[in-house]
Amino acid sequence: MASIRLEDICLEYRGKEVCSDVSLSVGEGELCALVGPSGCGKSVLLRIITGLIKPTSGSVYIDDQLANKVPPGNRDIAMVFQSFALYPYMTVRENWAFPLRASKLPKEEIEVRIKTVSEFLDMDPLLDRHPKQLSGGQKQRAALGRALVRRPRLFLLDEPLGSQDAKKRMELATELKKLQMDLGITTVLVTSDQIEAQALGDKVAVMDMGSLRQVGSPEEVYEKPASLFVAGFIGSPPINLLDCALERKDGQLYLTHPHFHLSLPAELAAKIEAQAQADSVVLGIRPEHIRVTADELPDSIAAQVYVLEPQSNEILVDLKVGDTVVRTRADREDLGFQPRLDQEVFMILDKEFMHVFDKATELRIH
Amino acid sequence: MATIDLEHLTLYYGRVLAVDDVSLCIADRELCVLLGPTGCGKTSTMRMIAGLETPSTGKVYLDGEVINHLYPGDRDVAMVFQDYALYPHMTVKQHFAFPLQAHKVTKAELEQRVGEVADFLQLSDLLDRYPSELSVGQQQRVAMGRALIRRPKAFLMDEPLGQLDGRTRAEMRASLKRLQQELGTTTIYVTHDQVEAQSLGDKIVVMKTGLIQQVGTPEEIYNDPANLFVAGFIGTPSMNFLECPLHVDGKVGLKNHRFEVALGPSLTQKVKDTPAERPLILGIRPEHIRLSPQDESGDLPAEVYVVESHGNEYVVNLNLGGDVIKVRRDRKKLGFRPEVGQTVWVRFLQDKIHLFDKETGARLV
Repeated sequence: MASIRLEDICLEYRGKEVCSDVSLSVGEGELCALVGPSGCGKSVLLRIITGLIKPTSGSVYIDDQLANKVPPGNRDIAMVFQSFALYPYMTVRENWAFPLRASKLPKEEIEVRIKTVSEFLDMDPLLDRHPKQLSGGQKQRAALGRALVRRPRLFLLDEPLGSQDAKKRMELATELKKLQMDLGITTVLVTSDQIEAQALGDKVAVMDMGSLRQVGSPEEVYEKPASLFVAGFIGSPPINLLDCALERKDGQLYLTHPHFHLSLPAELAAKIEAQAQADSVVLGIRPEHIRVTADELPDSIAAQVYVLEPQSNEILVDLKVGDTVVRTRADREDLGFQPRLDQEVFMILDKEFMHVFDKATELRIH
Repeated sequence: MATIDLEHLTLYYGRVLAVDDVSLCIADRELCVLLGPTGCGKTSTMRMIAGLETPSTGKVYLDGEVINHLYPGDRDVAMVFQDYALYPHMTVKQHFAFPLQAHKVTKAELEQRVGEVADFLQLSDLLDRYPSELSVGQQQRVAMGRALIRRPKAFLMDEPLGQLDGRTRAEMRASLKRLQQELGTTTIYVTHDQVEAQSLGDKIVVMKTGLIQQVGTPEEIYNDPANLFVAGFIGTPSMNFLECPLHVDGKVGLKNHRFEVALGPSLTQKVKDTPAERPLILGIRPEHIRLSPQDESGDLPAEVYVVESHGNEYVVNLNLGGDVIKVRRDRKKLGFRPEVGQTVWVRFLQDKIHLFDKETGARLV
């Protein structure tokens, strides 16, 4: 097993900075989910780890050994591509044997490894099929198997579940996680799907425009996003972001908005006072932390029901507050009433779960 | 007014029965979703309403009048396709004007209506662009606009959001729902995505292999699925299914060789006419299972297999004596962080247990 350490990786391509000062560590046996929107540089970073792309500057350490000058084939990394890249004219068995024969492994050893991995992936009846005779999920396992038989010290997966439909994706994601945990192979998984990243990663590394924006556990990036970008990127339905001003009055700190004026609880106010550079802030509040009521209550804000979307045991209620649409989410049973379209209602923001960001720097203040 | 009624529609492609005796009433202003996996007959059904397919038997009514004999162009329904089918050589404005030209509208009225639709869909600044100069989301709105401008009696939409990425799709869903409600145009919407169906549908028609499995509101389909198929198809993560024959031994319960679940008085009453030892399947949704790190009486032990973080929730995959079940719970409400390999104690919420007949798939309770 191996650990990975990236130090100040920069990649410039045609005058553009594709990766900027990326430093990241992945511990032995850890699954790091590298996530970000299209074009953020995550796939490029993955290829820098494999050695398929050379960084302009910075170091790649694999197992604490500098790997920059080591060719990809010698890094003992297995990569699984989104398109699977299975050899179409070979059977599954031959697809798996090929890299092992290339490594000049003895015939008996090759057979043992194929047998072991096949049992593990439940591919026994499919070994003699060609890729076009396999379903998407089976091709997935065939691609994984080809990487597994090599018993690499590192697994790099580039959008491995991209081609599956939503339901199948969830099932395969769980299996993939189980597999990775059982084998304990250090893994870096690239995805543009933040749901997948949270579900699979021991560690989530959020990237945007070539830089790492936050690295933390799935719970951390969700509960304590470090910037506006991370807050908006992680979580669905997305977080609500409202431009507010900080106002001090009678020793109390308030968040003011054209449609509301909220006092901040003492602890939160203290933290914000200590850190705030300016008075323009952005208030972030996740849909599940907004309560919708039919009646006016303390600290409630008037709103109008704009869209109702039932979802399993929940209901997504989009509210119109002036010109802004605020998304809320609640368990149908907890809601307590049946909202109607265009109904005048009230919303209460849960102060315990407010996120406050500096508008200029876009960074979290507390 | 635009009600649509389908009466015993069937459609054969050669010897293959694609739509099997489908009867359905769609009310005026309703958004009716036809939902099901590939090949279930949903698109074929919609195409028969459009007039693009001729039913083998059965009738299609629009506002109480049979329209089987009418050409698609004469039915006053507008279709939005999955791949949008935009005209590559026409600008956005031309896309909207084109359907009106066939209706011999004055130039002034054309300009006015084009402007109206463009404003409605926030495309006013893009009227002179060609499809290749638009984002996917914008292209989707142009396809909608082209249908909208005709002010048809009904919209027929075939997976119109299928091409969009997750986030755009979710945003467009909300916009589409609002749009349809503001316009009040009767809409039939085909999709295989059950999340989308629940979000959009006033009424959902779940189909499988040409047959209607259940018709209901999103709440009905979710809370009271009529059979195993609907129960397993609607909801993510899927409902957990456990094979359990009914067992009467003093008290009534479900027992298989791995565990036993006692049924409370309410459920016992509901199964009193079911023969003992009958093979049943217990269905329970992931959010209706409670987990505890300690043994509380009546709970079943299970081993934590995988823990997945989903927003504010954990989805905990458990090994319950050989069966894998999923439990979904808000992190704070759960109160502890389950570790892989840990033994936890599981309890099913009695009033949320579904029982299905293993052979027929029908719901008993």
